[in-house]
Amino acid sequence: MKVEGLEGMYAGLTPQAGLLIVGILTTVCIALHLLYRRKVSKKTLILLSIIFSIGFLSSVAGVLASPLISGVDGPYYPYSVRELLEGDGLEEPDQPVVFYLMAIFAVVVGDITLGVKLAQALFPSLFIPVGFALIFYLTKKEQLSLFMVAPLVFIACALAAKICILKNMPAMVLALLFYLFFIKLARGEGRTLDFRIRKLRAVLNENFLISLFLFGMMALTHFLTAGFIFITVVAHLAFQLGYFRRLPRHELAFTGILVMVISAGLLLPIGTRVLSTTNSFAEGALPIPTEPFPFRLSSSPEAPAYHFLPLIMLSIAAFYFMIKERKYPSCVLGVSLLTGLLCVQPWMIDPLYGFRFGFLTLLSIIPMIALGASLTRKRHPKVSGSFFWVFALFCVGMFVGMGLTAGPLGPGALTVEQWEYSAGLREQLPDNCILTTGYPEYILEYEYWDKLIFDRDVKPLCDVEEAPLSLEETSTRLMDRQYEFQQPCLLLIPHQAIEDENLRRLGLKNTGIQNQKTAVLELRDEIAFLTDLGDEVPINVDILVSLPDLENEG
Amino acid sequence: MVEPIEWATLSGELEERENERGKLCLYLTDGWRAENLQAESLKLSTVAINEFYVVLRLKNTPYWENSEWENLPMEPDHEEKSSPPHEFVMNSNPLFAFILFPIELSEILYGTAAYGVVKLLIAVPLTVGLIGLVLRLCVDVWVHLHRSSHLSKEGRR
Repeated sequence: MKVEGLEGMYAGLTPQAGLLIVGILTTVCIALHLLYRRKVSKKTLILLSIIFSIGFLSSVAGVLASPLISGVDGPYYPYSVRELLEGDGLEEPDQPVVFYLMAIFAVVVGDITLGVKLAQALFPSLFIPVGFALIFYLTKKEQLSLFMVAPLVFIACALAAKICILKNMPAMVLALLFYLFFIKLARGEGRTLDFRIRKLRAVLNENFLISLFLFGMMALTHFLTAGFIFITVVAHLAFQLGYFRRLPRHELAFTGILVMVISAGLLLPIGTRVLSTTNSFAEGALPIPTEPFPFRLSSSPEAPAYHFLPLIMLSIAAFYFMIKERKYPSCVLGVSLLTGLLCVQPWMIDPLYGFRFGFLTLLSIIPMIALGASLTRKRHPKVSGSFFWVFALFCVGMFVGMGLTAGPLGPGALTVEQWEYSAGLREQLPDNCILTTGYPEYILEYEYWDKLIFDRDVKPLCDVEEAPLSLEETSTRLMDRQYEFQQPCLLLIPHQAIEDENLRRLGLKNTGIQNQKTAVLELRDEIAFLTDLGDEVPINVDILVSLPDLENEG
Repeated sequence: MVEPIEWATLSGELEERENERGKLCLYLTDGWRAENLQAESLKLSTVAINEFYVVLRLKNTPYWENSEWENLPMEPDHEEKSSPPHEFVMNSNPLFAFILFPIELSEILYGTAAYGVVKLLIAVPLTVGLIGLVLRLCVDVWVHLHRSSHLSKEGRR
């Protein structure tokens, strides 16, 4: 079966893609109907379905606005899906959920990039129904829950089109669901299962098992999110002990099982990788400052925690009301916020990764604000209203702010023009060669662009500031590079750079591999075979050269 | 027009240059010239050869045994990330020294395999617990003060 979009640009919106979009919308709406037909009014159900549909369709429009794959780590995902479909396996086989889902989408629509883009649109939109479920459970108010999830349309669209970290997003949706069932568990709700052992019967109920299942799914989707949720669960116990001076039985039992499951998981081969990643995250942190108040809102100016300041302030107010109203189980949300703010400190983990924890604080912030609004509604209606309006303004502001961001999307993102320089060469390139370049068009900031477009890394012959090199300099450095690696090196070069040039004189020749904008050169055989001798000849020797043909050629 | 050195004089030429310079001297030429070459009889030995070129040396040169080769990377190089060294410093602020104590204590394990797990999975939750404890102490003090002032007002009435 022919699949398009192999190099990060989708070929066009196919009828299959339209069917998939309709299929997703129908599935989610039917699921909402089945889950909520007896709990909320028909009007609320219809409105929720409409809000989700708007969120999903505007996210689809957002991601399809750029023909290239976009978002944080954007090219990594189509590259992984392509590897998976070609039978080469996944680079991260222990976190496969999202990749398999994207592969199914890609096969259905017949275009890898389009399939990945539709997944990018879907996951942030799922915050709407899942957010509704959690907020409605916490507040028991249909109208308020709808009001709170409506602005999420803006956030979903902005996240899908501009950020969309594809492994984080589905894990974050699962995390929100996890909070819902964990709070239910903490409240002691749910049917108990018919166990013969009385102590087990008292603890193991349906919410216990659903929470455990959701945690497992989260771990199979994104380690960091699952790790963060685990820290939150343990921190919840510690907070209950510190503040409420009680150790809740259900959560304690759940944490015990979780610790056992995780410990067993760490004994598997993936455990070593998880431990070493955790260690490198922690070891990259800065030392704890000795100043009186060492806390920062973000580890870098770009970190989301910094941007979420108005929401964090609101959440802290909501946390105050939660504690005041003695809503013990809901405190897990406040603890999650505290944990996220603690983990984002540059002295906790490598500042490069701090933003991911800052991003995870969003999980607890939205339901907390909703709960705060609900708790203050009777006594302080104005305060309650301000909770909603600040949230709504933030969502719209985020949407407008991100939409106005000029230029291509995501770190290291390419423009279509840049992409055209490199696209279409992958299948012409031979195996076992190293790609090099001295031209800025091919020095791509994000390594997975190289892998997606060329199926291998491109080794620049110079820094991007030094590029473009002169043709003479390029040729010399290519020889050095080929001597160094003792492997054939190919040179990516724009057509206009070699117009009217005597390539033979420079020791170069055209391989015939090309696209509209780029030619691929290599060293002439006479030069290439000279460099091949490199590893066999001792160093610090004098060599008498007698190559009359080359020398006579000048 | 450049002409190659004659095979008959090559060993003499190499020997002379080695004596002159005190180091190994090699001869690089086109491979096709060395076809059917009786290297043994010319006191020569092949160092390297490929489809285009051949590199020769004197067969009994004393410098060959001490020769060194460059270690060329077979794979393209990749940068290895190095983490900055840590110093174990206690926080001088007594309040935060208390709250951050678990994290500061975990710094002792820096460099060991357990460091990341202890810092993130144990020290962070404990710190959150301590934040809860401090929060509760503040609330208790507030309630106590509030109640005392309330009671004194009641007493005056």
